[in-house]
Amino acid sequence: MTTPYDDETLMAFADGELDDAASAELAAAIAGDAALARRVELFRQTRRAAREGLDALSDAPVPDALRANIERLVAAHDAGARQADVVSLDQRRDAGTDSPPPAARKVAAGFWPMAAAASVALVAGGVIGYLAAPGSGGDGAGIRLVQLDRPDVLAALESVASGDERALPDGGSFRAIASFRNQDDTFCREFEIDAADRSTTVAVACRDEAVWGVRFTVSAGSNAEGYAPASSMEALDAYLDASGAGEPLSVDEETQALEALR
Amino acid sequence: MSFGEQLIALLPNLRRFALTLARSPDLADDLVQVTCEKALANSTSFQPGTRLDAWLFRIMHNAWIDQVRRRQSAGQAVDIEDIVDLADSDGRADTEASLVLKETFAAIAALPEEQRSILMLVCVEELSYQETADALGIPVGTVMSRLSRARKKLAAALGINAELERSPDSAGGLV
Repeated sequence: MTTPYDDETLMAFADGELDDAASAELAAAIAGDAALARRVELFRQTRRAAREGLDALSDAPVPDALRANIERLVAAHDAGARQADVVSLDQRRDAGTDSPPPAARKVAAGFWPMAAAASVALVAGGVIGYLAAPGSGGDGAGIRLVQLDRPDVLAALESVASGDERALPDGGSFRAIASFRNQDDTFCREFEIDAADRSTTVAVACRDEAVWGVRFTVSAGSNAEGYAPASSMEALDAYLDASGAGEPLSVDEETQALEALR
Repeated sequence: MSFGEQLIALLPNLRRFALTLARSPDLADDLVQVTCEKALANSTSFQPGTRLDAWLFRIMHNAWIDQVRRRQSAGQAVDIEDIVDLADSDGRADTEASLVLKETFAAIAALPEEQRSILMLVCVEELSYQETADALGIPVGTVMSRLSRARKKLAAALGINAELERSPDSAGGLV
């Protein structure tokens, strides 16, 4: 025995998603077919069960700390909007029309003044150059640099899939985080390098005209878990927002983009 | 209401969706915060007259995907019990009703994320299939097939319509 109604149609009926004609027709069919009615009932009951089950989550109150944080964000946003003209005409011009309003931009700029400017020129042949930690130059007591102009790093950049990690010959490791396309469709990769001394560098490099350019880098310092702490992620997020980075590429898209580099 | 006020009013919904995605209170709170930051930073791109909650869910889901990819190599562990406890955290006695809720919750938490998020948006937040598809960036057909699978699994886990667990064809054979 076959039925002309598949599960998805019955579900759409139960959810009120069918148009009037289809809905009336199905209602008539159900009236004369108990088995069909029971199948619809499954979708009605699961909808109710899901709502009741998940409603329990709404009973769990929003934590005070979270609410306070958001209220602070909103207040900062509203205050920023009032001084929009003064604060960041330049920044808005840089970021194009799709830019966030000034308050957020101001925060971003405040975090890491160097972030947007950290576009390190590259030498042809794939050399990435030296990266200095943002905020460097303050104490003059020697700045630790993370060297990325190495064949192993470059090779990893062009082959390691996001989410994967590769050990580097010097005892550190390269971790690909995500790939995305910039506003101008440039292919970019976000990655982290754990040095042998446990410090972590978070960086974004983009592929321009057959060479990689480092667009963002932050030295996240030592971390027991070998993972960049949240504060450096905030800096990165601010940079990604400001630079008009697209959503992360899917696995397939990334594979294609990486293959296209070879 | 200003944009910010509307945002704050939707915090319970945002946190609920965040918990559905992340299944960990700490991760969920981070996700809510990131979502609100992005929403405020891009408030001018919200189209008045469309559903603000759907727009926020979209931002949150994108942020979640981003975080998941970042954490993939860290072997992110998720503890379903945490979230079940959370759903039960108001000190209710284990009445029969609350046990059923807990069971329901555990069954939902055990679904794959791609099904869980759709179940949440359609059945709880009452987004239409199209709004859900837009929020998650997937086709409507995909929403429907995942939602249908999620609900059949949920029905099986909860013993809803147990007599219908057999496929229509085998049921027909019994007639």
